Amino acid sequence: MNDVDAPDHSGWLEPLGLIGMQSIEAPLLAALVTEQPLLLIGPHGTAKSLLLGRVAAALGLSFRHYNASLLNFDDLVGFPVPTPDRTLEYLKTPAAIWGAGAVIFDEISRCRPDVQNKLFPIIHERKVQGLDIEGLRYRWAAMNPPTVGADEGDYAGSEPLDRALADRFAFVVQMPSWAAFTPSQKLAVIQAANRTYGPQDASVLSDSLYLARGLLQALQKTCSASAADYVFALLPLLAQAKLELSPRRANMLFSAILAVHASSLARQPDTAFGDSALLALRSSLPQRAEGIAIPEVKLLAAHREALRTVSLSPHDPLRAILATAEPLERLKLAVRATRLPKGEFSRVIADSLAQLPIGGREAAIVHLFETGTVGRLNAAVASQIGESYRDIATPADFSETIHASHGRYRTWSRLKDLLARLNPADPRAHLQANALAALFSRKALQTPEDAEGAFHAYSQTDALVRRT
Amino acid sequence: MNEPVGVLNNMSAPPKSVVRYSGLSSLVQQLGPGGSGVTSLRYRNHEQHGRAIRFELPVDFGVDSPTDILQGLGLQHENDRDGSAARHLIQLINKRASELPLPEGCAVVKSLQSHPQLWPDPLAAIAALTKCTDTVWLRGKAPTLSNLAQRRNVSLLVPPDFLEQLKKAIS
Repeated sequence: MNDVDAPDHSGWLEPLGLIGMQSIEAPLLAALVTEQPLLLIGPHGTAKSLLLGRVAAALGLSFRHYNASLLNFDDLVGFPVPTPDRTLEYLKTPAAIWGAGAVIFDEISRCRPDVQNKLFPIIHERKVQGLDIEGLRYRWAAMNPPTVGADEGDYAGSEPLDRALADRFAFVVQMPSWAAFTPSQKLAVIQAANRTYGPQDASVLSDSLYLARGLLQALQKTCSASAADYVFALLPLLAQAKLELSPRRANMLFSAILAVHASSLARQPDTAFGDSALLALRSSLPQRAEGIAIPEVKLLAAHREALRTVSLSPHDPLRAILATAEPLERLKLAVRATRLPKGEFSRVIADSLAQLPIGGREAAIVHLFETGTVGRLNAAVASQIGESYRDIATPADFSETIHASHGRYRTWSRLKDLLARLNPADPRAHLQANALAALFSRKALQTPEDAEGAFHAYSQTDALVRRT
Repeated sequence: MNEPVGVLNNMSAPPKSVVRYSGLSSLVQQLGPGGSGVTSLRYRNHEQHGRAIRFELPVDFGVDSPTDILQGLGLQHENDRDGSAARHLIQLINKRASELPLPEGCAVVKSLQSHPQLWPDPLAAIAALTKCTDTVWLRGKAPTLSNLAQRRNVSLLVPPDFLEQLKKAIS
C-alpha cells in the first residue's frame, strides 16, 4: 500500500468505522458544532443512516430513528389522553420523540406531503404541535437523490423535497460516491466487521468538537466580516447562474462558513478561508434536495469571484459591480468606473456580454464601440467583440438558398416582418437590422420566436445603454 | 327642409389605395418559392455607420527590422543588438498613436482604396498597423512589429460620435 493510498486516521469518522468520508468531515462536524439541521443525500448503501446512527451513539445521545416513508404521526408524539384539568397530554411511548437528544428522519423524500408538513416545525424550531421538545439538539435527515420530471432514475419514489422544508436544513451534504473511494478504502468497507460503536470510540470526535467550538468563537470575532463580504458578493453571482438563495439561506451560509472553517482548522490548521468557504457553499445548497442540478463550473466561478471581493477595499468599484446580478447593469457600472484596471474591466465586460440575451449582446457591443469604451478592453476581449461590431456597422450582403418548408424560412419571414417596423431614416435602425441579419446568417436565430426575442432584446438594451 | 345627398358611398366597393409601411424590410429580397419549393433569400444593406479611414505604408518602405523602419522614417540607428532600436521605435509608435484623433478603440474593416487616407505619414500607418488585431485597433495596445510583415494597409471605422473630433483635427 503506498502513502497516497494509506488510510487517514487523523479524522474523527474512521475511528467510528466510517470509511472514505474525509471530504464531508468538516461540514458534518460543523453541523454538530452549530446543532443546525443536517440533511444527507446519497444513493442507497452509501452509509447515510449508518453515519447518523453511529454519531448519535458515539455522542451518547438518546436518539430516535424514524423511517419517514412509514411514519405515522402518532408514532412521533404518542397518544393524546385527556387530563383532569380538561387538557390533552401525550402518552410518552418509547418510540415517541419526547426526550430525544437527536432525531433521524430517514427517507424523508419518500414521506407524504402532510407528514412532511408535520416534520417541518420539528426540524425548524424543535417543536411539535406547538410544544417545545425539551432536550432535542440534533435534527438529521437522509434521502436518496430525488427524481425529477420524466427522468426515470433509480429512485422513482424519492420526490424532490418541498422548497421551504429543504431551506430549513442548514447543511445539505452529498455523500461521497463509491467511485471516489481509494482501493484501500473500498477493501476496508468490504471487510468491515459489524460491531457496536459507542462513546468509548468517540474520543477523537469529542476532541474535534471541543476544538472546533473554541475556534468558532474566535472566528466569529475575527472572520465574520470576510464571511459576510463573501456571502454578499456570492448571492448575485449565484443568481446569475440560476441558483437563487433565500435571505434565510444567506444567513445560514454565513454561519456555515464560519463553522466549516472552524471544523477544518480543527483538523488542518493551515486550511485557507477560501477552501472552507467553498466546502460550506457546496454543503449548503438546498437545490440538491429539490432535484435541481448544480452547475459545478458556474458554482466554482461564482465562488472565485466572491472570494476576490473579500480582499477588496470598501470603496473599490468592483465590489458594487460584482454585487449586481443583472448583466446589463453590471456592464453599465463597469463602463462608468473609469479607474477599473484593464484586466478587471475586460473580465466584467466579457462575463456580462456572455450573460446578455441574443440581440441585447449585439446592442451592448455597438454601445462599447460607439462610445470608444472598447479601447479600455484588453486585445483578446476587444478582438472577439470586434467581429460582431464589424458585421453590424459595415455594409452587409449575404444570401442563402433554402426550401420553403425549412424552419429557417419561417424565421426569415418573421425577420422580414420585424424589419418592417424599423424606420429607414434612422441610422440606428440600420444597425439593428444588420445585427438581426448577422445573427440569422450565423444561425443564432433558429425559430421565429428567437427572431422576435432578439429584436426586442436589441431595442430594449439599446434604449437602456443610450440613456446612461 | 330637404337637402340633396352630397356623396354617395358604396360601402361594398374596395378602397382605392392601401397604405403599407414597409420600414427596412426592403433590405430583404426573396426569389420564390417556385414549384420546387426552393427559395433564394438575400439581405443587403449599403449603409455604413461612421467613416472608414485608411492607413497605408508607402510601397518601398522597408519593414524587415526596427533599424530598417527607423531608416525609412529618416532616423539613423546603427544596429539593434541591444534592442535599443526596437525600444526607440516603440516609443515613436506610441507617441504617434496618442496624437491620432481617433477613439481609444476602433473596428478594423475591409480596406478599400476609396477610403480617405487622412494621415499619409508612414509613422501613422505603422501606429495603425502595429496596434491592430484582425478585428480591432486599440490605442493602448503594445505595438506588434511583426504585423508589418503581414499587411501594409488597414482601414479603421470611426463611429459617428467621433467624426466631429476628426473634422476639427483635420481642419
